[in-house]
Amino acid sequence: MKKRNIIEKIWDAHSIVQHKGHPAILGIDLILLHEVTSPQAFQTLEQKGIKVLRPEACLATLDHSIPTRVNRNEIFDASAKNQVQKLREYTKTAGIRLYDFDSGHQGIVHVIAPELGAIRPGMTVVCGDSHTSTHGAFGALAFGIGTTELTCALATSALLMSPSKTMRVAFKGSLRPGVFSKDIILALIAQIGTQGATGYFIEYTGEPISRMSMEERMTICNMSIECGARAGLINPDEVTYRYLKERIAIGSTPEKWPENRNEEWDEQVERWNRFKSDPGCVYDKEICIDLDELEPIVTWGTDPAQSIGVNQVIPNTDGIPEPARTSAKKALNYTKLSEDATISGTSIQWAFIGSCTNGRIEDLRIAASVIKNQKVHPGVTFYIVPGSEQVMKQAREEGLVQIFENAGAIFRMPGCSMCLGMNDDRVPSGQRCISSTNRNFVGRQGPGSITHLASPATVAASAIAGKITSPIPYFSQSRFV
Amino acid sequence: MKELIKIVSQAVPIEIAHINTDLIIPAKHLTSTEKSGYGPYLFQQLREESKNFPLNLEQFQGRRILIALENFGCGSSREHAVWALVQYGFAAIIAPSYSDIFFNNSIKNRLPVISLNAEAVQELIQEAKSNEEFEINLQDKTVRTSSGVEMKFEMDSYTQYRLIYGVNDIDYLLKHLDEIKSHFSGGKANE
Repeated sequence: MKKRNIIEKIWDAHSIVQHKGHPAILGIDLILLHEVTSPQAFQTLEQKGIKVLRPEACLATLDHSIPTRVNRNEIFDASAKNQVQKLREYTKTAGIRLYDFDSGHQGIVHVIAPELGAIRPGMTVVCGDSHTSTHGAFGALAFGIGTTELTCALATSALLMSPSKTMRVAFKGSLRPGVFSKDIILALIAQIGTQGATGYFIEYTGEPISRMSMEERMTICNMSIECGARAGLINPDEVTYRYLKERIAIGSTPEKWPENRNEEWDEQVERWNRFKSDPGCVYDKEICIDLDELEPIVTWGTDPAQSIGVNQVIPNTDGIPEPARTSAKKALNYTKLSEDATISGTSIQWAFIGSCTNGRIEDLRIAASVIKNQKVHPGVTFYIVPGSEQVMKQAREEGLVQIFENAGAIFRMPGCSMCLGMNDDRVPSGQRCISSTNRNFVGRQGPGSITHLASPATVAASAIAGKITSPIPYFSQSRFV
Repeated sequence: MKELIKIVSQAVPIEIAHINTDLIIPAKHLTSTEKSGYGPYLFQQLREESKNFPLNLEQFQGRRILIALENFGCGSSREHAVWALVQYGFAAIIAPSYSDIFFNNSIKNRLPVISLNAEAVQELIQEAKSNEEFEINLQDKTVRTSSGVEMKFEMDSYTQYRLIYGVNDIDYLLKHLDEIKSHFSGGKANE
């Protein structure tokens, strides 16, 4: 029998109809919804008189356009308010579970779906959001779609699509203390470029991945799209199963969910194990990255591939071939930085920890470990926005919120917040923000804003210093000398 | 549905690589729950930034073909980017490469996205600047200009068929609803 990788196995298990020279009909197990890309899909269904085929296989929440103030129920922006209201109405009519404000689980859709135990190995998962790749961390084939495809998925629990090519990214070596999975994915994007994996689904493998927590794996899979891959997967293992068992054990997954089959735990694990890539399976492309020398990474430009080690100098554009040189010059002009200058020491006015990339409890723990007994620099506004109501609750219980507030950081309510400049949380024009998010595009955090992507540790260390700074000293023993 | 074989127009060159969907349509316009009304905000940031941005220049007004550099439409999956391009008046895009999600969204909205190598795109940019008329022919998969340039492009036969005849995914899938339902009830799913 042909040896297959996890991507091919999931594809084969969900390919319902496959005619030669024609895209496959791919069954979709779970549809995630948020207020921005969904209302138009429901509207089309309504016009066509079509019902959602499997409302029990959908999960919705509010995240993108909502305020993160304490009194967030009052949405001042009329258009955003309408969008939220529309999602409430449509999900109610369709019988789709919506995790609304104060449900205990509202939050960024890519944070709450895993935390509810809704993502299981071998599933196909879609959402009108490019960071759906996050859920590949569980060995699920999860990818972002547009509104037309979302309409199809709601109506038929299926999509018409052709398989992507497969790419294996194998990591080896060990991370130094102070270097995190965010730095790994930024390094990969820098190495292969923002279109290095266009047309591919990635599988991440290697010892460093095996050692990672689910949160760390989610950060890596989340940013697969920033190198062009629609999906990024990791084989399920004991870490995955332990995470899932805890989630299911705490009863966060209602019995009636389709994810909950009448199966004993061992049977489920056995079934999930069968999705793992076969030893000796092949990929269309393979690359290997050694992590031993990896430094904390920070971006200097306006795409996620334009990054360097925090202690390195900004590249000289003479050494970059066209058309990347023109892009680099333009980017430096926008970020107000110079070639050959060090990035470390650049003054910042804002710092942000949050988003579907780094807004999970582990990210907040790392930030708290850096910021404990320190003060945020007086010239810096530091927003910390939990990815979900669960993360918020846990951060309170663990005393992290106290640590943040004692340091002078501002802890807010869950949502996408400052990641994308479509709610009240924006970086003012001309100001510079170090951010644990996923995109440093021109104006991404607000018109005229300048973004530097980095790990939560680098963000926290920089917020204290008031300038871009390596977090390494906080994680080496020398700080106690 | 009416067949779409030829797109005939002059072209606008936007010589920028990696144009992401945030640049095509900024997130602040995404709180609308409509599928229309995005045209006026197309490339808003780039238009506001420089009066020399091609869409601000008299020379390029009213042209229905856009030429850009590599990795066009990267980033966010927002289909609003395609809606904005179409509603502004673009009927086809030519670039060396596109992001996967943007490519899909374009085809599903029947917006032809033509891939040609970087060199060919450079040549077409010069043609656009010289105000040559373009003809994109989906039937014989060729771009022609009034100066005599002729270039073949690759496109798989299914995509070609979709663009020409305007296939609708949802109708196609609904025809297979029984097979889909049996997939989910038969327990093949998730195995």
